[in-house]
Formats: sequence, structure tokens, C-alpha cells
Amino acid sequence: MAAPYTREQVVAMAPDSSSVKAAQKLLSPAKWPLLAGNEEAVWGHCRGSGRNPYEVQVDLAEPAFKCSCPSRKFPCKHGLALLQIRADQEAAFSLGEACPDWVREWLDSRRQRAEAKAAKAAARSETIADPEAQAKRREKRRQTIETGLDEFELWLQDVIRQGLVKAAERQMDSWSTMAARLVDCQAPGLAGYVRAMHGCLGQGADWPARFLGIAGRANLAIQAFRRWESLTPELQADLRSFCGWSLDQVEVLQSGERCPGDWQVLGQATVDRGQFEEQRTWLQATADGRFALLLSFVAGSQTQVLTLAPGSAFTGELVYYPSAAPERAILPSPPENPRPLETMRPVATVSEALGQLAEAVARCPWTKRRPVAIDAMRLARRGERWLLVDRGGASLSLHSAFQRPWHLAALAARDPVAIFGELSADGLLPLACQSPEGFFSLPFTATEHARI
Amino acid sequence: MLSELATTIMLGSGRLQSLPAHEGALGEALAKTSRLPTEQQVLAAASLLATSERAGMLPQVVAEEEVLPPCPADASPTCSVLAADVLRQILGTRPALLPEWLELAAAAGQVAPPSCLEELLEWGRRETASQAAIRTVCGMTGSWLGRLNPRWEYAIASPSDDDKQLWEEGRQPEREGLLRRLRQEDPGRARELIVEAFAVEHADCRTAFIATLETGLAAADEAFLDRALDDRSTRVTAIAASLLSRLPDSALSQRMAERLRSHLKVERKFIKGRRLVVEPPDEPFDAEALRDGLQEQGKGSGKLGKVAHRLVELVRLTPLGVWDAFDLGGPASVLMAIEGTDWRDALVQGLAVRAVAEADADWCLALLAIAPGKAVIDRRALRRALPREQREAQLASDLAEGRGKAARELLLEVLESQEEPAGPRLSRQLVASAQQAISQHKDDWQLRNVLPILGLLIAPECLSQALAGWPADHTHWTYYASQYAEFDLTIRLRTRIYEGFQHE
Repeated sequence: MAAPYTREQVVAMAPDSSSVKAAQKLLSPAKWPLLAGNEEAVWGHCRGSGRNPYEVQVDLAEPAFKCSCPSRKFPCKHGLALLQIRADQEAAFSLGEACPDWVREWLDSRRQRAEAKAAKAAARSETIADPEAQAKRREKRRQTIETGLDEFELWLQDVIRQGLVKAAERQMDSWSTMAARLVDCQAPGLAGYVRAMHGCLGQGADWPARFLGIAGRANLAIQAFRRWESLTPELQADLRSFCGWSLDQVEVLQSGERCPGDWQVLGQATVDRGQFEEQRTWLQATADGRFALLLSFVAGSQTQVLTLAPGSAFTGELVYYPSAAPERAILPSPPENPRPLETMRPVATVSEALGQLAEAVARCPWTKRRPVAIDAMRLARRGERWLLVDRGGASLSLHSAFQRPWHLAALAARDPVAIFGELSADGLLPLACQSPEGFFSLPFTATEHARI
Repeated sequence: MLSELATTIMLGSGRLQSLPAHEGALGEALAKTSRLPTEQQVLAAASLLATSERAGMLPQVVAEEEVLPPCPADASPTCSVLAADVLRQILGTRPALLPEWLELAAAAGQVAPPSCLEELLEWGRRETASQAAIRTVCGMTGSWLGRLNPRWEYAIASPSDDDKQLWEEGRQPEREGLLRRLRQEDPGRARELIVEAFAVEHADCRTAFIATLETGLAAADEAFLDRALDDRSTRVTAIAASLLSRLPDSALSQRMAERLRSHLKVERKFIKGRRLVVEPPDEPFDAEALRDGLQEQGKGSGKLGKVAHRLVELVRLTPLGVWDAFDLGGPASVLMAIEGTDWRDALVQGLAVRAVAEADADWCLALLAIAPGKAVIDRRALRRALPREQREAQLASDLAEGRGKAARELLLEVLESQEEPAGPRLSRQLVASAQQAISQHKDDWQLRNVLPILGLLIAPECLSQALAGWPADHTHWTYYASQYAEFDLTIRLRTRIYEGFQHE
């Protein structure tokens, strides 16, 4: 029985690097009075500080983790260690056993919940099938947002009339009130733009231009909203997500584009935003190189539902959110039997990558970043800044938030490497790299707490 | 464009006369905004400019010299995927195993893969002792990175022919290392460098340098060492005297032997055979004796009296060969004869120091076999002075024969003092002794604490058996289980290290 996940995949499932380290301390089977498994699940007892060992179990299908330890991390070190031991030291396991009761119960309850969820979704899609009521609800929300936007527009014009110097001197209240107002009017996305405008005041020499850029994009949303009826459904959807009026999954499943096929998981970025954690997981279709973004938001102690490890690949169906430049998607059923990815599909030049960004902006003017994979990149240095250079000598700045430029330099020391990352006005933020040595995930983590 | 507009409206949109002109579609779109009130016009223009700036990003131009030069290929092959995997794990959790990994990689002539270099080089930056080994396994890529990143400068491989530069500009430990190496290749040249340095260097440096003469010590060094007896630093003179006494034919050795002989006599007895008689050195050492490195007892040093101390000094600096002249037999017989004297402790204590200095296996073994009595005997030093095989055989049989407390003491002593993996026989014995000790001692914290160290000391060829036979069902076991798990993990990781370097 082959190991279901490789060590690299297991490492990529960890919520942070300290969990990886903690798990590595548990790799000795001597800490595990019980290690067993079958095709469906693996389970074990891990000796901890308490009197009774922890009961650790992993449903291999997704994988999903459960452990009786009190850790808030998910998956916890015990679950990670269990899968790593399975990957490295198969002999330590007694395999092919029937699940004991405590595992069986959990697996069964998971199956039941999944079925119940599917049934509920089916039921809901039927209730939504009442198109009149739905249209009414939508219209009501649109009007609420429009009220908020009218206020927002006046406020923005006021800010501009008084000038950027005055804007920087404004009381905190002015910003937080406006943001709160937009939240009340059900446009939390725009509230985020108010916070972003406040956040860039006086930060760096180019702040006036950045400030005006955000104001400009917000203004574009306001003006577009006035012309709601004339917009294509795709642009309406983009505008909705810009305002924070997101489509719910049922709507997406109903109207979104379905894309079955082979997908590779290329990268992951996790941003801690205070009350919740945002995780961006990037996929690329093996067939045509198309990208997809899986977004998940996890609040406090809640657990990440989906654990897709960069460097893996799976066969399954994605459903894209409707958009003029489709990118965000959902995965209706969890992927089965993930396998290691073969190779990313890069474009050859920086110009092509920039072209992809330009096209996405042209289709949806609120596009902030665009995933790109570029082949044969080398590194360059200009003072303390890093640049990524393609085969023809065209280059992009390396995003200043990228944490491991020297690691990347080492990987690209001899041969140029293919780099996957997020391209934005601030440069390219690498999330993975493919060198002759292999595929390397460069997970990005950041903390962005709003000040208001 | 956006920044121009932003600058214009810093003090309010009233300042805006007209939007900057622009060609093409963007210009036309901007022109359309002119009908709007100023603040609306500014916002509309900002929308257009922000969007077009994002869509119109251009590649940056890079000068060829800004691009990092490609790193030349390594002549050495990269280590296996498994070895790299273990390396990452070691760096994350068990850095104590890093030296072993580095050594195996160097022995296999393999380098670490690029994906491990950042962590490895950062590690070396903090742990300066491992820098040389890390430099080797980082290969050409390490040198390349070291030239780019000043924090990793140490990884730049220095060509071997710049010894001169190293000697002239290196720091003291590097110069010391150079001298030790040179002493093996060209001892005379190394001595010349030391002689040169003695004229100018301070006492710390002189002490360190003269000590390097121990490597490849020969009669040719005598003249310099003899001059060094007149050095200002007592540390330097002490080393010089000790080194001279290691040259059996040196004038100092002759003088020492003469002195010792004047205090020891062998009487022939009709019935009991030979008897050793000591004539105690009652007189303080004279100037010449002091120059030769003999020291009077300092305040509060040792339990022995003044006279006994002089005896220790005399024995300590006299070549062991002098004992042959008494015709008492081998070391064991000499020690037996010493038992019968009134100065037994002083003689034994001096001999124990001397035996270590000469690394004389017979004498070390004989001294280890006797009870120390009141003499201060450094048993660890005596063991270390033995050739490895002999030492380990000795330890293994001592451990095997030991019982109860004594066996536990010895086990702890070995685990705390052993610095590298033991040979197979001692490895097996250490495991057996630890297993036995655990079942005999409940709640022994010292024993529990040394269990992880045991994992580092097992011979590579014994790793596969090291996890067998532990008393996991013994009632005492839970107390030791957590530390045993550390031992267990170390053994498994080390097994994987060896697997990683097995093929090719």
C-alpha cells in the first residue's frame, strides 16, 4: 500500500512552520503506542504530556484531520506527524486493519454531514428557484448599496476638493464613520477601500499617487453602479465582489462556468487580517494553463476546511465565479487521491505575463493582481532591491514583501527557474519555483491589520 | 501621470487648471471629463489613470551587470534526494546530527542541493565551528552565494595556495590551524614562522603557537624550545618544558632524569627481591630546576604536602623511560613496587600525568587498573590517552563486568565524555548497560537525561539493532519513555542519513 501523501505534501498542509518543526519531534514511533491504518484512514495514539495518549486520526480522502489534543492549530502537529510517519516509515504501521470504533464513528459522521450538506444545497437551490423572490431581494440590496455609494461619492469629492494634505489631517473619525456607513449599507468591500486609503496616508514618498489610485477605482465602482442595468452580467458580478456583495456558493454553482480536468496546486498565500485569516490557493489547469483561485476565510479558532498542498495535483471539477476575467472558483467536492504535480505551465516572457495582467484589467478594471507563471527567470540586484529577469532581459521587480530572496537566488544559481507568483503593481510575489532540482513551494504569510 | 495629478491637488482640487494632455484613446477619454465639476473631474481622471497604469505596466530594463552572474557548475555531484530530505529535517529539529551529515557528504564528495543552502549557510553564520564543514558541502554554489551576500562570506572557498596571506592577515585561530597543518607537511617551515612570530606577538598568541609544536615534535625543535624556557610568560615556559620533556634525548630530559634518579634508589633485598626507596626532595627547587619547568607548590593547591608536591613535579616532567633503568619490570611491576613506599600517592599522581602526556598505552592501562587512593588521578584523561580500540575494549569490558551503582556511574561518565560515535563493541555494550540501568534504577533523572546523547554515540553499523531490547514493558519505563523517544528519533534519523549516502 503506497503512502497516500509524500513528506512534501504533508509539510505543505501545515498551518505554519512551527507546526512542521513540532511535528518533526513526534516522528519517532516510540512516541506512538498505536499506529494503524487502511485505505480509508490512518489513526494512532500519540503520547503527550497528559495521562492518556491523544487520539489522532486522518481521513485520507481529503485529507481531514481530527485529534483529541487541545491545540488550536489545524491540522495539529499530531496529525501532521501521523501522516509523515506514514510517508517515511510504513513499517511502523499495522496496515489493512478495520477502523476501531472511535475512528469509525468519526468517519461515518463525516460522511453523514457531507451527505446532509449536499442535500441542503440541493434543497436551497430549489428554494432559490423562486426567481421572483430572489430578484426582489437582489434589487433591495442593490438599492441599499446605492444609497451608501451616494454618500460615499459626496465624501470622496469632499476629500478631493480639500486636497490630499487636508486628507492626511482628517480626524480618524471621518474615516471610520465612512467605513462603518458602507458596512451598514452592505458594501463591506468598499469599506475596505476606505481603510486602504487611510492606511496609505503618509506611507512612503509615493503615497499621494497610491491614495488617488484607490480613490479612482472606488469612483469607478460608484459610476459603474449607477449604470447597473447596462453592465454585462459578468461585470455586474465583478462589481458585486468589489463592493463585497459576494455571490453565495449556490448562485455560483448555478451560474458559474464548470471546468472539469486536471489541476495542479501551484501556490498558497496566507494573510492574517486580525479577525480572520485569508488563504489564497492558486491552481493551474494542466491542459491549458488557465489559473483558478480558491479563497478561504477562517475566523479565530475555526479550522481550515480545505487542505490542498502546493506541489500536488488532482482531477476534479472547479466552478468559476461569474466574472469578466474569471479567476476565483470553488471546488464543489473535495479532491480525491491527490498526486505530486508534474510541472507548471509557464509563459516564456515577462511581456506575455504583463499582457495577461493588462487583459485582465481591461476586462475587469478592479483586478488587483494576476497569477502568472514565467519560464527561465534569473535574479538581478539593484542596490538592495531584487529583480526577476526573463530570457530576453525584460524584468519585473520582486515584491518587497517576499521573504526569501536568497533562497530563490540559491535555487536559480546555476540554471534559470520557472517562477509562479502573484503579479501586481508592486511587482511579482513568488509563491513557487521550479528548478531542475524540482518544484519548490514558497508559501507566503503576512499580517495585515487594518488601523481603523 | 497619476502622481502628477496627485501633486496638483495636494492643497485641494481648486488648484487644478486643466488635466495634463494625453495622446490616443486615454487622451480622448480624459478630455471627456472636462464637462464635470473639478472634484468629479479629478476622480474620473484618477479612475482612468489608475486603471491604465495597472494595465500598461512595462517590463523594466536591467543592465547586464545587475543580473547575478551564473554560478559555475559543481564538479562534485549533488547528494541524493533522501540525503537532502534528511538534511532539511536535521536543520529543523536535530542540529546535533549536522556534523555527521556534513562529514558523510564530504566523505562521499557530494554537495548539498541548492534548496538547502539558505538554511545551511544561516546555520553556519551562527555556529562558527561548523563553518569549514559547511563551506565544503555548499560547494561552488556556496562560494557564489558568499560573494553576493556578505553574511555568508565564510562560504567562499579559499584557494589553498594563499597560506602566506592567511598567515599575515588571518585571525589567531586561523593562523593556529595553518601552523598545525604545516607541522604535518613541513615542520621546519612551521617552526620558522613561530620563531618569527615570537619576536612580536603577545603572550596569548605565543602560548597558542608554541603549543602547535606538539604536532610532529622532533629533536630539531629543541633549540627553539630551550630558548622559550626563558620566555616572559609562565604559560609559554610551562609548555616549552613539557614539550622538551617529551623529547627523551633533550638536555632537559637528561637533567630531569638525573634529578629523579637522585631521589629514588632500588635496594636489593635478599628475600623480598628489589625494593624502591624514596629519598624525599626536602630542599626547594634551585634556579635551574625552576627554569626547567618544575614548580613549587602554590597556595591551596592539592592535598599533598610541599615535599610530596615536589615529587609529583619531578615525576610529571621526567620521561617514563627512566623507570626502565631501575630494572623493576613493566609498568604494573613498577606500580607494585611504588605501593611499598611511603610516597606512593605522590608518585602515582605524577605518573598519571606523565602517562597521559606521553600517551603511553601500557602505563595508562596499568594506572587505570589500580585504586587511586589519595592520589588525584584523572581517569578520563588516562582513557582518552589510550588508542581508540584499546580504550573502547577496556570500557566495554568494565561496563560488562560492572554491577549496580558502579556500572551506572561508569555509563554516565562514558556518555558524558565520549565525543564521537563509539565502535561496534562499545556501542552494543552501551545500549545493553543503559537497558540494564533503566530496569534497575527507578526515577533516575541523570540516566534519563543522557538517553538522547546515547543516540549520537552508537556506531553506524549498530544503528539497526539499537532499538531492540528496551524494557518498554518494565514498570520503570514510563519515567524514561519521553527521553527514550528522543533517542529513538536520533537513531532513526541517523539511519536515514547513512541510507542517504549509501548508493552511488
